[in-house]
Amino acid sequence: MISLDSNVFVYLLDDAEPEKQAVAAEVIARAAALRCPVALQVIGEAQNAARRKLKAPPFVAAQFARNILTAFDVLPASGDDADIALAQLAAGRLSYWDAMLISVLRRHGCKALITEELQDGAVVLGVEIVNPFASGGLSARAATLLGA
Amino acid sequence: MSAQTEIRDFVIWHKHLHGDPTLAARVAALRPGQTIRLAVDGVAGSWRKMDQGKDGRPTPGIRPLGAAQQFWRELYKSRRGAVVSVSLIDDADGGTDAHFEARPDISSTERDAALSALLAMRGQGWASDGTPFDRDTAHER
Repeated sequence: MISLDSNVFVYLLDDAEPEKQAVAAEVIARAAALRCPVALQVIGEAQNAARRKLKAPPFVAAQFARNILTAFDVLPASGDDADIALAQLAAGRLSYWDAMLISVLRRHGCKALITEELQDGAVVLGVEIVNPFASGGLSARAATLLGA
Repeated sequence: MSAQTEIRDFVIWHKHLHGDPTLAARVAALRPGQTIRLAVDGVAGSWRKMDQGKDGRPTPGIRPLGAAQQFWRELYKSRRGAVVSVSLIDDADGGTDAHFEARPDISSTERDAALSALLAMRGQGWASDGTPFDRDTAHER
């Protein structure tokens, strides 16, 4: 099972990045077909980035996030995830929100996170980090995971 | 530990559960009509042992129920031939094992419509200034 990060969804909306937008659309469509879940945290980050980064009005940002919420199953966080995130923060290994996201994914059995954040190819808390954006379009590793 | 099975039918036959003999035996030991909670490809749901055949012999398979049925049909439609994990859900474990609940309140039609609406949000003029996405910023008010 794999999951998508909020930045993939944000690139879908971002007309200033047409190449990444095309890759994001392919990733999202394939992930939805595979019934990949997303962390609940991603819903909040997507609407926030849509408003603050892309300057979309609140009703557009809300519709954007609601579409994600309906198209994908969501994975909630728990107190254990927060505990792990705080431990990672305290140790200086990860930011609180990066660790929270990855802890949620790991707890629900996700093996990989499709994201532009973090180091491509690294395994963080047991979850493989896969950057979908390559110079020629979709990266080879993301294509393999998504069955492209 | 989890078993694997190939998506090849509207039901899961016992003989197609591989990799976890304990789970396979547990499923095989179910009585007709008895249900079991399984996480299939990470999605939790209920499965029902198939009824006996007309000749009175047991039918060695389980059918998905409710949200699991919808989920399994979608898998059959989109990923036929793929191999997925199957694991037993022990509801006494406090929900800490690796699975999540499919949302039965959202139909596949609604999912498809939401995905289409999401993809159609491209090209509406929303553009960044090129500043890299930062997760911590995405949590600021």
